[in-house]
Amino acid sequence: MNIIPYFTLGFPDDGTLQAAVRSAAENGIRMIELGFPSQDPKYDGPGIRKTHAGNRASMDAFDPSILSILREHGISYYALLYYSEIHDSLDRKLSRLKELGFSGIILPDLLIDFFGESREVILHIQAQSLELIPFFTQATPDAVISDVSQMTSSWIYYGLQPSTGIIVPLDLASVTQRVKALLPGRDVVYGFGIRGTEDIKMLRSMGAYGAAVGSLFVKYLGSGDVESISRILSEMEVAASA
Amino acid sequence: MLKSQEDEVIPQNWYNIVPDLPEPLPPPRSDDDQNSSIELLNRIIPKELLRQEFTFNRYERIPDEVREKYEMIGRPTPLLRAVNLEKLLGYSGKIFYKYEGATITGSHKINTAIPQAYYAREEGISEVVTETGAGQWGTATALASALYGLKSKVFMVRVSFDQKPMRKAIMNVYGTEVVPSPSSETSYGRSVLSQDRNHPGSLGIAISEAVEYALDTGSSYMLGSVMNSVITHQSIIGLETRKQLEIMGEQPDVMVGCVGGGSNFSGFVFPFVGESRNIEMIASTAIEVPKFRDGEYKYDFIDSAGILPRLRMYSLGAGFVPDRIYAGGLRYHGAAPALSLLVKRGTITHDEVHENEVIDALKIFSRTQGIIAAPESGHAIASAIRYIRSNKESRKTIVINISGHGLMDLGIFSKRVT
Repeated sequence: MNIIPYFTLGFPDDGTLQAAVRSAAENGIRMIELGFPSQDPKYDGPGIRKTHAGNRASMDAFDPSILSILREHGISYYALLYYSEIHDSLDRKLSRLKELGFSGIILPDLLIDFFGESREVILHIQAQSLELIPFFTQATPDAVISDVSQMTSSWIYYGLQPSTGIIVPLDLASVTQRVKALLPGRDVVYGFGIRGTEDIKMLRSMGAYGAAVGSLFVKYLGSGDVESISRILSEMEVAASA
Repeated sequence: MLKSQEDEVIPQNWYNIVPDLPEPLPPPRSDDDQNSSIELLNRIIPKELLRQEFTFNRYERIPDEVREKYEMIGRPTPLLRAVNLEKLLGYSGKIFYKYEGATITGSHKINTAIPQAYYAREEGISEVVTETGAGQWGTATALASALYGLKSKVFMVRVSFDQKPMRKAIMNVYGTEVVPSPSSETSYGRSVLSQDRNHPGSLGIAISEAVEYALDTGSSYMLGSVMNSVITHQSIIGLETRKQLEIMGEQPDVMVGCVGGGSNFSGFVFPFVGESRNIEMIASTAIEVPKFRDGEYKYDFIDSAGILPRLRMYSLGAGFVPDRIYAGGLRYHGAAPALSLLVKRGTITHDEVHENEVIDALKIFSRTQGIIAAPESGHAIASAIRYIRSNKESRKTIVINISGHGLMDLGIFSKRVT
């Protein structure tokens, strides 16, 4: 099972982020999510929201050495963006992401806020040779999950909680049944509210393809404590492969 | 164990529309960079209820004890044909009404109060708190908490508190403490009173006070409407209606109900939304609270103080203070997210009725069918009569949800609005 760290580009500063990415690479990760700062990270919880606040990094202004580290280690990297912030210049943004070597793009608000145009957007992204990673939540209707998954062939991001980094009661056994029924044979990465190795073991027992972990790292990034990030990733990698 | 007749009609499961919606339901939002108001719900709502709030499960099993309580409070409620109303209106189709006023507390509100109190007791909670507009939700909470041995407190919108002293008396009899809102018991209430000592109150303010009280005292907050879990519980109205129509060999063509926060209407129609046949669903609102006409489909707060998360819904603004109309249950600024989504898509249409037309409709219904319906339900009756008068020859089968009786609201008949 893959541990997929999430970092917001530019947070907290280039040096700390570079060290965190390097430590993730050295811990053997194979995939990573990189978020571009948003003016309105609407579906994020307090942890990730902090990484966006006042962050001036952008597609044209961030530390490129981060991507070099990832390429050196053969790690696939995926962009996480709010569609509301790129739809006005979609072609330019997609072509920039392609140029930067991103394997795919995750748009958490596409199916929620732009449902009416989502089909067209997915086809458009695919035409640019980028993978659109479908992002589903507990509130995504069954028919939408079936339709969108059939339009794509990549792995799938399934958000377990209403927003990142928060926890409300959840019946994981039902989630497993739902995913098996609606997404047979698809690789599913679970995210939102993953807080430790016990969660990783649970997801592994559910047959997860991966676990996306982001909010957990924010306080360590904020204090420059890359060592703790490295330790957590190492423990998670052990739990994921045990 | 239920009696056989009831057992056939009272469903085993509630229905949750979320997995069957035509597009994803926007999640709640919390824009606080320090603390999530979504996570805050863990502190004031029973865990099982919170799980149901965010679940994708199409069906949620009704606990046996809750089904037994449902029977005790009068479920299944009757579905009756309004033959006299058909004659009076010269209608060539059929009119049925589902009468939620037949429950012990006189409205649909008990349908969710019972499971919420049940889950609270199951989780070792000893006190519950909530708000009430017209008093129906407060009454339901009062009875449900009495049945489960819970202490309870209700913040009642001041205009209703003043207009409906008998509602307060009933809640007191059930053992509930009732305070008018805005009150001096919470910091939010005090802040409202400091600006206007005679503030009439609103549901948004009363919700804020109840939530603040729950956070301060560790009691559990009872959700009266708007939230998904409440609408799931209220699906018992529609599920029973479907079964009763099936027993009668009927199918609805038009369904009409009134909308405050949206729970009785949504519970009534949602089990029918996925049906292949075309059913017109009409949400009737007060013209004084034109949420679907003048409201914006946007993220807005559930409560006036902004303690709870924001939901995407039709809203007139969380600070909206409506006129002092008699139908207190319809004075809410927003409407349930799933209902709002279906209105936005045109699956559900809406109609607005003035209080005078409501009074006329209530009189017609009482003189033909014998039931004095609640002013809120009077909106549904008025919209249905409008529909029938415009479609006299249609021969359609119309089903109206009468969400409650109006025996506590007779003052409306001495009022004539100009």
